[in-house]
Amino acid sequence: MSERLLPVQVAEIPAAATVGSERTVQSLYRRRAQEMFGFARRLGLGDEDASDALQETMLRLWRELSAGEEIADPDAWAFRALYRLAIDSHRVRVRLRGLAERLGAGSGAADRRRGGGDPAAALDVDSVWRAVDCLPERQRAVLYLRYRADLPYERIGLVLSITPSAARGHASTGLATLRRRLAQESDR
Amino acid sequence: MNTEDRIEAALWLRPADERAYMEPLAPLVAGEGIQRLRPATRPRARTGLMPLVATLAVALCLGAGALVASLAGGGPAPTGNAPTYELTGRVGCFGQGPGFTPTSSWVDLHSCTYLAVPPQGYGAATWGLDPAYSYSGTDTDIHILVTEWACHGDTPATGRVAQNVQYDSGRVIVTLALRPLTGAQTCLGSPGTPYVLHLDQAVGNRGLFDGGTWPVALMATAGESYQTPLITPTPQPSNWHQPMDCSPDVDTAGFFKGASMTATFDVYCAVLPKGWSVRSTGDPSLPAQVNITYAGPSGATLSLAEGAYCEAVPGTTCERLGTIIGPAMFGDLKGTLASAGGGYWLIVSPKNGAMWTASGTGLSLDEFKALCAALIAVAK
Repeated sequence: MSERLLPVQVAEIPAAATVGSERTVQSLYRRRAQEMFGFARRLGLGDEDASDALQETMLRLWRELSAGEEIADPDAWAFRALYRLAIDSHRVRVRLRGLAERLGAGSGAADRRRGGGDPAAALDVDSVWRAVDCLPERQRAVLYLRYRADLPYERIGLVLSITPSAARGHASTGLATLRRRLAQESDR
Repeated sequence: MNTEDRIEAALWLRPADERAYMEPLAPLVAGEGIQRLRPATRPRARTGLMPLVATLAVALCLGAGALVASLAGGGPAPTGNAPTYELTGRVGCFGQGPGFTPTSSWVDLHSCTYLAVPPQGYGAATWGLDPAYSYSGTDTDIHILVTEWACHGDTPATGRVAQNVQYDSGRVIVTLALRPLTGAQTCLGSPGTPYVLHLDQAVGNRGLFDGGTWPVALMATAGESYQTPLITPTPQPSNWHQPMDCSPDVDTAGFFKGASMTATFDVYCAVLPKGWSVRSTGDPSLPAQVNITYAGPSGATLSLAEGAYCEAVPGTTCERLGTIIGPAMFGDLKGTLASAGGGYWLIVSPKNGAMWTASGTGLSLDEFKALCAALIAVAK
């Protein structure tokens, strides 16, 4: 079951450790909230679930730091925690959706929102991201982290528990697929 | 721009289905048995796992079949003891200056929906009859839906409505205005806010009009609802972005907000990767031109000049040196790319008295094109 739906029992935390931890978390949140939210969205979560996952990640980071855990790269740590939460949640959703469809309970409406209008100007951006959404999970994650989150491959490797060269490989394969698909689309 | 450039440029940008994330950090609290609370937001229908689980549960209980779950929304609509205000008598396209006083000989040269220009301190609003309620000419309390035209995230208009009602023998004209929200808002849009309009006189057989548009829009006549589609904002041109979308690591949101509010043309800002900063800016309160220079890694620079200068000013030309490379994108505008003196420039031809130019040094051609393609128009 999705972890983010459960209430979090917060353990007793040493007061002295909390101040610095809080600052670290707040700083990370200021810098990265948008990208982390977008990352969870690209991994298949709806707006609200992505928001939950993000807030949950921040709380977990704070708990780790407050407990005296050494976290050298909080950005990578947070993206990694978020990735796991999002993937777990997304898998549950996919399984439930499949079950719902088999029961004839409906199509499982996709939670995709547009900012409004049909921006011809945004067509390129949207069509590219739609194509990204069709890529395998790892490639999708790498491309988001590399571009929107502007993480180098070394840190992407930390986030996804893969080597930097594997991350680079996923990006390269993903970009090649995007090029092929978008070229096909524009030929039509 | 080739496919590869387009893809790379697009991947730096926020896709339209990823809303601007504005929620505050949930409180970090310690202690036995304390649960994390979601930041306070107004009730909304969940879109994720919960409805699916609910649907499954019902489906399993009742067996297969078409099941529709609906959620009743919101509480009762607030009643309309709203403050009154004086009309300005002016109309204009939304977000474009102080407007003008229409005359009978005036000819429509624009393609926008004209709105009544609200007084200082208010924002534009239109309304329509709430289809959830029946309308009768004998009513003095009328259920309507209020639509806010300014960016307001998903915040309803509740508590911010001011009204002006004009009665004559044949018409009752209701013009609403809204006190704007403070702070930056996203432009997600939201359905109309339910509101109960209180009138001192029953409309009777007279026409009931929304004075928020020009000409005024008929909503009811002869005691019956007149079925007009609710006018909804086509408001913010769809290429508009919020100022905080401009390079989150470069503090330019205030500058671009001020510049775009003052300028009559679309103001574009750069969305830069980390490592860039602002070197200099022009005066954002000057409406005619917007200038900014960014400094990047290894001495790279990117400068934007937008507004009334060079060929955008009648009778003026500017000499430009360099070699034309070909077409390229200045955000969503098509321009001409050239190289000169070891750098590059991109110029967009004048339109409605404004033009846009980007110039870059210390950048490769691909880098410069990518930065220019990633420029975004800032909402007014």
